[in-house]
Amino acid sequence: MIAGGRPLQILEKARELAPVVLHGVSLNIGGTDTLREDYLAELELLIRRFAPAWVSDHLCWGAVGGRFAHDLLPLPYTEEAVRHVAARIRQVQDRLGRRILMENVSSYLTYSISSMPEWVFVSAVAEEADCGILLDVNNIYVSAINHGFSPLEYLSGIPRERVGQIHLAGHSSSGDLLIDTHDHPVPTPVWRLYREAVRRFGRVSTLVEWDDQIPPFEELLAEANRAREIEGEVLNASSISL
Amino acid sequence: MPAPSLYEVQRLFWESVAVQPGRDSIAPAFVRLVRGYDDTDRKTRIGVYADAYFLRLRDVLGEDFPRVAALLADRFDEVVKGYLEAFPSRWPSVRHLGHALSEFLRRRTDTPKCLADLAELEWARIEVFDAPDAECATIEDFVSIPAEAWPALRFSAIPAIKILRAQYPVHHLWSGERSLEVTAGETIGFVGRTGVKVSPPHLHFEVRVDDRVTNPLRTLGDFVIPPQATMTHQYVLKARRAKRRHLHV
Repeated sequence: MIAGGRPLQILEKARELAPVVLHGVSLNIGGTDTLREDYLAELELLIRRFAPAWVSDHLCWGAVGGRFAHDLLPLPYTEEAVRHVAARIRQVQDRLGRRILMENVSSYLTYSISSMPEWVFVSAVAEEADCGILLDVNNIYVSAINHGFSPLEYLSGIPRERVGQIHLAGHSSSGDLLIDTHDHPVPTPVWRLYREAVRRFGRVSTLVEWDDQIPPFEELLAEANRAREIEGEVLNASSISL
Repeated sequence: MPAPSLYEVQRLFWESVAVQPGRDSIAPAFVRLVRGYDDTDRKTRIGVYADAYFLRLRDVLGEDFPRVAALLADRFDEVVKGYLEAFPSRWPSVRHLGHALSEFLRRRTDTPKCLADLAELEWARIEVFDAPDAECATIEDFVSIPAEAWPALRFSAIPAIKILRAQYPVHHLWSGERSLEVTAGETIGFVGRTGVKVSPPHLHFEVRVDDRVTNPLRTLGDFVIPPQATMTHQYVLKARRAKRRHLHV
């Protein structure tokens, strides 16, 4: 979302070699300020220039009163929030002329006014907005530990046909809470949950996120290959059992 | 009591984590909105977001203004807190966060004034790197221009060009050649014939006390050569004599 310079040139080169997807963090889809037209216009330009396979952002909020926290802040899981967020997703989809994917975020707090579990909220928003779901398996695990719900129940509550991408990542812990930091290898329990996710959702494009303290390329590649292996194992096993 | 609206929840959230960054300012009404075993647990959870807000934005400013951060050293965090209170981010992209740091530093009375100039330089670097791409004119372009078109030609700068007016030697502060203090005997500049050659080599400098321009003769006393003893002064006298001789001819 800048006028020129190196990042755009690098993206141009990457685009020549492979399809790209656009993954945003600033849509503020759950916010109550009106959607930023300048942001949507820039996003539209970027979409036109790079023709991404899909466009995604996060099911959360990040700004209030015109001020941005630059964070993925949790929403209360209420009927009001479902209607509000779904209407805004529809508005964005109409504006961009395409369906977008919404990612579940990790969280460190939940609200006393929430009237449904997170997976019911995510599914209800996706149904009402008719958008896709970007399922972050690490975020499910982090939030499950932080709030004490069953990650498997979460997975089984997500509609199969809406999941368009899966994210994996590492996290770190701070006291009793797990923090989604994207600076560690994917830990064993997240791989285990990923196995369950593949069992439920089948072959879904999967991304290992690693944003900070990035290791040598071979290590990153090994993480991606691990995901491929697990997917292969699960899918082969299920085809044998047929 | 009716459940607070989504806007109300978000307003309380913001108030608790971002209005006073880096300080414990959790709104009691927000604590009641958060699930937890007890208030300590609730506040710990809110605190994760409050800490993340401050630390993340401090890191962004530290990356965008590495020299200002280095020169402020231990005071950088305090400056960031004040800045985030005065200029919370108003753009979806965090890239714009530091747009007013220079202005903020200029207003402060308790940090060195030169830091505002330095911040302006560091911010300009970001804007220059992100500026729209442009093709520069090449020798071939010039060769292809017909001679009769030349008189009407004007140069125009590419969008990435930024011209800054600084009162302090910010390029030296930026490169790390200089620190915030000048000590006796330190070289503050070199003289040479680089400009229009109408006067002998000389150096312009200014002495400020509490940001007020002062007479360097008074402030620096014996360290300074009196104006009448400078080469410039001798040159001016010589030029005057020559002019007089010229008039007499």
